[in-house]
Amino acid sequence: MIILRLEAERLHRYRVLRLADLPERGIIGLSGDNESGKSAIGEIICFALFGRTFALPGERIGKLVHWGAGEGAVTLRFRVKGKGYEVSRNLTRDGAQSARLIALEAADAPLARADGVTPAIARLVGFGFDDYVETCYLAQREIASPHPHSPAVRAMVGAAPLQACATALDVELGEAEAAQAARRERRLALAEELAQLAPEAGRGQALERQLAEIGEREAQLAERMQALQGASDAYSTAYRRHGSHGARRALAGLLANIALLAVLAAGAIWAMLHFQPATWPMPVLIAWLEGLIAETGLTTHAVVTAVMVIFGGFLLLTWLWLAVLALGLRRRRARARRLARELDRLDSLEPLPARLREAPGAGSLVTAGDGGEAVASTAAGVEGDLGLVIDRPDVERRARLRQRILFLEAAVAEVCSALEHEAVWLKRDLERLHAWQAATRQGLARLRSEGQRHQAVIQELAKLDQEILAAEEWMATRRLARDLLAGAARDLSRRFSSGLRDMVSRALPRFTEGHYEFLEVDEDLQVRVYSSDKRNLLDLDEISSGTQRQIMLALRLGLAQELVARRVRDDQFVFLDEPFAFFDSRRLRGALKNLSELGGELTQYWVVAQRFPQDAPIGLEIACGQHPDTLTLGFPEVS
Amino acid sequence: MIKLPFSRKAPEEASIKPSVAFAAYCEAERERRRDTAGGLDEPRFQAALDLALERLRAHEAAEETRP
Repeated sequence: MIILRLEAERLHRYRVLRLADLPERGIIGLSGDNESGKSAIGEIICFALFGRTFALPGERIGKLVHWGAGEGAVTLRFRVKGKGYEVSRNLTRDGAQSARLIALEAADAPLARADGVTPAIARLVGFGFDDYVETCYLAQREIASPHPHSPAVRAMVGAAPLQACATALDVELGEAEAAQAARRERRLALAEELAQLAPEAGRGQALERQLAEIGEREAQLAERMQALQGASDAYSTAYRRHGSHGARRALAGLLANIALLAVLAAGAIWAMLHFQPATWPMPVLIAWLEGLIAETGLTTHAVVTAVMVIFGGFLLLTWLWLAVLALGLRRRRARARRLARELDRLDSLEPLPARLREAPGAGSLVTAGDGGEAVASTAAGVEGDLGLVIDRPDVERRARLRQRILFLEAAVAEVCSALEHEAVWLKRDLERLHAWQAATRQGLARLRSEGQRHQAVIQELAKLDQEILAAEEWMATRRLARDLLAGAARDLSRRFSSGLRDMVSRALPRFTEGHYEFLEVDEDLQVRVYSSDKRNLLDLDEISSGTQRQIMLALRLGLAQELVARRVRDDQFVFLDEPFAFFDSRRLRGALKNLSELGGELTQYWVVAQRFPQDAPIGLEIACGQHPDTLTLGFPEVS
Repeated sequence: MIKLPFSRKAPEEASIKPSVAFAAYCEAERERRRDTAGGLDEPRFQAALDLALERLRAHEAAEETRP
């Protein structure tokens, strides 16, 4: 891009600025004292191209309008690849802009208008504002080392797309790593839970066995208690009935004996009456009897026979009573034996094993938990509520009682008291068994629940492991892709730095009068320069500031050349605002000569200086500041 | 003839696409990694290369179609 003509009105310090017939090759010198409007030309060119300047941020661009004026305008004519173009912009003090871009060969059909002008120019000239200020436009400021990560430099290197893709992958990786960290955290938590859930081998079977044993013992105790209660009730009944057994037995025996005697006497009388009626005392007895039955009409024989039959019947009845009494006694003794047998069975009951005598949860199979503690407290409460001695009656006492029961001598109260004692003992064991049964059931339920959770955790862990593995694979591929992109970007940077170094090294001796022959430019665009005098590579801070500026100028021109070579591939202007501010006239003359002999695509150099030496190789010198706010060149003078 | 410090580049030299430069770099890198002690995980390298190339080409296409 070569600038052909510049016209501006009411912009910056110029009320009128008109520059035409500008040389397309060589140096255009802008000279003048301070505040003469040299730098303003650079800013107006920048505004014409991109609608903004280096010095004024976008929101303050209205300040570019000339003091006292409400709006300004600029028209810049330039050439790109052999074709002429013209960009016009209007700017109001409040920052409002209008713009138009035309091709000179078709001026009636604008190529772009308004906001479309700046992108159109960027496409046309091959670079945008950022690239421009990093390379072709050196504003009046300290020349610093170009930043390797600036968009312009990255674009020049060709690494910008690589780095954009690497950055996108980095973002994806960051998100994936966060998700992976969450998965690993979850996995750790699950592994810890699994370690706590890990069931002991055979614990479930042991609990099942314990539950069966408890059930069996409980049933046995319950049966014994019921049987004991039944036997006790039967014994009580028997004992109460047995109380009058002696008297009834004696009475029945007496009556039986009397009846027997009476039957025998009646039989003897009947026999004597029948066979020896004349033998004494039969006649007396017969006379007495006949006197008694004289009015009845009965015979003596009949009366005696009747008496004998009556007594015989009575005898049979008494014998029957005696038999009934004997039968009752036998039955009561059987009940007594039954009670004694139940007591014997109690004796033969196995005591609870020690583990079941403890409260559930204390060193038992059943884990002490909510249920276990509740049941333990229930078991403790049984003994506390009963408030009785819970040891069994001693063996000797039980033996004596048994004997007395067998003989139906133990009173009901005595038996009840003894059995109550036994019942307390049995109830205590039963309650313990109940507590253990409940605790064991709870333990089993918990074990089953833990078993289910165990399985679920194992499944989730397996799924999580698969996800972690897949994510690792996914991330490894992206890490490698990112590393390859970064490596390629570094490689491009190295190549770029190497090319830049070669190019700038060729220019460097010209700018430093042979004091520095070549320089090193690393991939971060950090510069070290070889001093011919010191025969060593020096960092920039080891050399004078004037030389630093020369080296940086050479580097910037090298970057500009690279930009143009890669993106524009056409002749290009460069605007250098006081690049040789501290040069003496001899050195300035040499620098300007070298500038015009650099070669490459940079052909039109706009160089700002306070003054140029008489014999400096300048194609056109524009003296600024001769009129306060007007500068005209190649146009008729404006009054 | 005196060689000037700056010289014009040939058009093809100046306009190598990033994806082409990247593919060339990756081929050299593949060879280099094959010679390293750890060796080269070919499938993963290829997958990473394909992924990066796909992204780069998409990026280039987006750049080209940008108004």
